[in-house]
Amino acid sequence: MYYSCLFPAKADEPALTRAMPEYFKDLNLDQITEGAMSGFEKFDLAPHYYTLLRDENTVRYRQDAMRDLEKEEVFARAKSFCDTVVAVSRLLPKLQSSLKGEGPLANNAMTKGQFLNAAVKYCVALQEYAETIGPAGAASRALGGMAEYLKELFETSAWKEFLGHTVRVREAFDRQNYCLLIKNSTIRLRKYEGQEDESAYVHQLFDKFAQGETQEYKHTVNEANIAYHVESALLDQLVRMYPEEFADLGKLCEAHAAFLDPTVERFALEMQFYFSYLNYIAPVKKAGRLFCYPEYAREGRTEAAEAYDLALAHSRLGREMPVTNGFFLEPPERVIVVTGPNQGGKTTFARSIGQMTHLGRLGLPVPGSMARLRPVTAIFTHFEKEENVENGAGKLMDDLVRIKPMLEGADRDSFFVINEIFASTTLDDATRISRRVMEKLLAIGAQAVWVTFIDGMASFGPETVSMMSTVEEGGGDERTFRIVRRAADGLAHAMTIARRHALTYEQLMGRLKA
Amino acid sequence: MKTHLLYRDADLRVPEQLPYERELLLNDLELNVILDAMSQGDEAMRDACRAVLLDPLETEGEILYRQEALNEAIAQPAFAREIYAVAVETIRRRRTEHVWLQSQMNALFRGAVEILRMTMEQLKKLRALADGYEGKVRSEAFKNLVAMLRAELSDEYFAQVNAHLDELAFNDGMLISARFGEKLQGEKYTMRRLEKKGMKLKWMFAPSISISSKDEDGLRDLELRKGRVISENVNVLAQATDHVLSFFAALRDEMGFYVGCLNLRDRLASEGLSVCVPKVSPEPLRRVYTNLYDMSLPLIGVKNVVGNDLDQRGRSLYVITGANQGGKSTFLRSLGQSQLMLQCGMFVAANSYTAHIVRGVYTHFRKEEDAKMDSGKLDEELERMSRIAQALRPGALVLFNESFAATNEREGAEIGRQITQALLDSGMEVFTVTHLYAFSRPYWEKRDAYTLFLRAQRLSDGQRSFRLSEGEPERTGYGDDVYRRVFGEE
Repeated sequence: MYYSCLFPAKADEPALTRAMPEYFKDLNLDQITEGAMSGFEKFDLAPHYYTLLRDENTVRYRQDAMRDLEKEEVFARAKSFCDTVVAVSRLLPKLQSSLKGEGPLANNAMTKGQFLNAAVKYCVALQEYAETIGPAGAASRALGGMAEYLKELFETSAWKEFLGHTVRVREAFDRQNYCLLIKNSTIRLRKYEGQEDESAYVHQLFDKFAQGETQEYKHTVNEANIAYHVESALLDQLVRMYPEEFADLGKLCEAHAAFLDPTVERFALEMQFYFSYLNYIAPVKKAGRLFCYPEYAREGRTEAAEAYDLALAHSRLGREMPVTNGFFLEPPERVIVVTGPNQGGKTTFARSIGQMTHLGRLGLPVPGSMARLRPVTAIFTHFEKEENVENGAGKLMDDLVRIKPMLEGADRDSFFVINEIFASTTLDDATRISRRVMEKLLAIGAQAVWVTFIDGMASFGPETVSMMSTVEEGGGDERTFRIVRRAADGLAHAMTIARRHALTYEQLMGRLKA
Repeated sequence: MKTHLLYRDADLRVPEQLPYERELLLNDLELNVILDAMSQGDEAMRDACRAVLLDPLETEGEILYRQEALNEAIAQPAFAREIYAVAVETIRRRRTEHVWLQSQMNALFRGAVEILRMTMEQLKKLRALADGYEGKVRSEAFKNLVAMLRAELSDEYFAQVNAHLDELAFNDGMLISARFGEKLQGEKYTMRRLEKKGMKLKWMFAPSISISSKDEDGLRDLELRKGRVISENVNVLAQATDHVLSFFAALRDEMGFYVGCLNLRDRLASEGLSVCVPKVSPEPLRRVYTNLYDMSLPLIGVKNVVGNDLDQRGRSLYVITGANQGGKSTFLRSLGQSQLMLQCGMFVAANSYTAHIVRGVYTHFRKEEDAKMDSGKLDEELERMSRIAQALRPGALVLFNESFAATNEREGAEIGRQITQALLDSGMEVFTVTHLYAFSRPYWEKRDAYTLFLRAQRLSDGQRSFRLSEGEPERTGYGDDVYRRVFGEE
C-alpha cells in the first residue's frame, strides 16, 4: 500500500522540526528555503526544509524521486497531475456545499457544469499519470509507486462506475453545437445548421496576397462573462433544449459527490516540496551551475567538487555566477582550516559546504558537481556576530558561551562551521583558546570547516587540512577568488588564445569541414 | 500573389538584424556610402538594397534574371518608379490615414474594414498601371508582374470584396455558433454568415432571452459576447490587411532595389564615372578586369580615383604588401564591392569586369584601435575571426586587412599562417594585405602557382601611385615616407 512521496512508510516518518534551526541564518539556508517556498505559501513545506533525515533509506527514496523529477518530461507530467489534484481538492468542498443547496449558486446548471469539469480533469489526470509517468522515465518508488497505486484503484468497481458515468455525460455535451443570434438586446438560440464560417470566407478572399509567414493577432479573449445571470439564463434555456443530457449530469453529481482519493490528495500536496526546490534551483542550473546527489558513508574519504553558495548564486542570476570550489578530506583528516586574505571568499566557501551538508540530508540535490559526505545528524555553526561589538573580554565571553553547548551536544555525526571567532582578543589569547577548542572538536570526532585569521591553526595536526583563499589571474581581465589546497598557475600567450578561439590549423580545418 | 522581381521563384527577405559577418562586411567595404547613394534617404529602400547587396546570388542564371530586369529598368525608368510610387503610397496611407483604436473592439473592427477598402483603391491603381504597360515590358521579371496583376485583380474580384465588406455592418444581427465548454459555459464563439433566405421566420420562435435596458451588467455582458467574436474577426481582418499590405511591401522592397540602382547610376554619371555590366566566368578562380575602382570614394567626394587592372587565373592566395597609404585597403574594398555587385546582378565600378562566382564574401579588417600590442586586442581580433569562421563555406572569398598584428611579429605571423592555410586547404580564395614580413616571406620563398604577390607602388621619390603591381614582399612598409610627408623632416 502506497504511503507518501516523502517517506517510504509510516514507520519512517520522523517528528518534524517546526522551528527554523539556529544555523539557518549563518549558512544562508534561510534565504534558500524562503526563496524555494515563495509561490508555495499555501503548502506547509517549512518543516520538510528544517528536518534532517536520519534514515539512509529515506534519503535515497527522496534522491531517487528527485532524479526522476530532474527529467523534464517526468517533472512536467508529475507537476500537471499534482496541479490538477490540488485544484480539485480546493474546489470540491465548495461545490459539495453548493450541490447541497447552499449559497447563491445552489444546485444550478452552472455548479453542475463546474462539477463535471472537476470530475473530467481528475479522471484524465489520474489516467495520464498512471500511463505516462513510467514511460517518461520515472523509476523511483515515490513516483512509480503512485502509478501502481492508481492502477489498482482503476480496477475497483466504484472507479469504473464513476469514470464511465463522467465520460458518458461529457461526450453527450461534446456532440452539441448551437447558435446564438444577437440583435439589439435579445439573444435567440437554435441548434447549429451548418452556416458558413465568416472568418474562413475572409481568408478565402485575401489569402492570395500573403507573403511568407502570417502574424497572429491573438488578443487574449476573456471567455468568462461578467454577468452570471446572463450565463445562467442562457444555460436554463439550453437545459430545455437538451433535457436528457442535463438529467444525466444531475445523477453524476448525486452519486459521486466525494470522488477525491485521500492518498492521491496527500501525494499531490507533498510533491510540492520537490517542486518548490526544483523551481528554485532551475535558473541556477540554467546559468550553468551544477547540482549533484551526495553519496553517504561514515568512513573513508570525504570530498566535493565545484561547490558554491546557492543563495549567492541565486541572488546573482543574470550576472556573473560565483566561483566554485572543491575540497577533500582523507582520513584521519576531518577539519578544514581556511586562512588567507580577507574578501577572498572564505566565508562563502564555508557556507557552501554547510549548505551542501544540510540540503543533502533532506534528500535534495546539492550545489556541486559531485559529493561524498558523512551522514550528518546535527549541524552547528558559530559565526562572529558583527553587531554589538563590546569590549574584548565581553565578546570573547559571548563566543565561548555560545560554543560550549555545541561542543557538549555534538557527537561524531555532527558537523561544525566556525567562522572568525575569538577575533576580539589578542592573537596570543586567540591562538591559545582556539587550540583548546580544536582539541575538544578533534576529541568529539566531528567534521568541521573553520575559517580563521590564525595561520598557525592550519597546521594543527594530522586531522587538520589547510586551505587558503588566493587571488589568481583569471582567463580574462577579471580576478577570480578560489580556495585551494595547492596553488594553480596560468600562463597565456598568443597561440593559447588562438587555441581558445578554436583557430589553430587543426581546429579550424575541423570546423570548416563540419 | 508573388512579385518575384529579384528571384525567379523566391521572395526577398529583409532581415531585421544582420548576421554578424555581414555587419562587418558592411563597414569594412564602406557599403553604407553606396547604400546611401542608392536610397537617398528612403529608409525602406535602403534596407531592401542592403539585404540584396549582402546576399549574393550563386548561379549565373539567377544573376542574368536580375541583370535583364535592371537593364530594362535603365531603359524604361518610368515603369519601375511608378510601380514603386504606388507601393510606397499605400504603406504611407495605412500609417497616416487609419489609426487603430485599440480600446474599442467595435471601432477596431470598423477600422479594419476601412483599411481594406483603402487597399482596394490602391490595388485598382496597380491594375491600371499593369494595363498601361501590358506588352511594353519584356524582361521576364517585369512581364510576369504585369500579367499577374491583370489576372488576379479582376473586376469580379473587386466586386466580391466590396459586397462582403458591406455585409460586415450586421444589419440583421450577429450570428454566432457555440459549443459547451469545460464547465458547460458557451465557448468557441465563431461568427457565421447569416443565410439570406427564410432567416427571419425561422428565428422568430426560437427560445430567447432579453436583457432589460436597466440591466447594466447584462448589457455589458452582451457586448462582451459580441466582442469575443468580433475580436476573433478583427484578427482575421487584420491578417487580411496584413496580407494585402505585405504584398505592397514586397513590391516596394523588390522594386526598391531596381529604383536604388537607377539612383546610384544617375549619381555616378553625374560625377562623370562609368560603370559596366560584369560577366560571370564559368572557369573557377578567374579574375580579369580593367580600371576597377573603389565606388565609395567618388561618392564621398574624392576626385581622380585610381583604378587597377588584373588578369589572373588559378590563383587562390593574393598576398598584398608594400607602402603605407599606397592604396591597398582601397584595392581590397573595390574587389569586395565588385564581387558582391556582380553577384547581386548590379553593374560594377570598372571599365570591364569578369570574375568567377564565390560562395560568400567575408572581411577581417584590422580596426584602428587594434594597432596597439595588447593581448585584449588580439583576443578581440581572434574572437571576430572565430565568429566569421562559423559562417565560412568552401568557395568563399576572404579579405584580410592587416590582421593578427596585435601581437609580436613572430606570433602574429604564425597565427596568420595557420588560419590562412586552413582556409586555402578548405577551398577558399584569400586576399591578404599584410605588414607581417614573417608571414609573407615564406610564401614568397615557395612562390607556388596558386599565389600572386601584389605590391603597392612606391616611386623612387617616395610618392605613391596608388596602383598595385606584382612584386616581392619587402621588410618595410615605408612608414617613414608617410612620417616625412606629414612632418616634412628627415
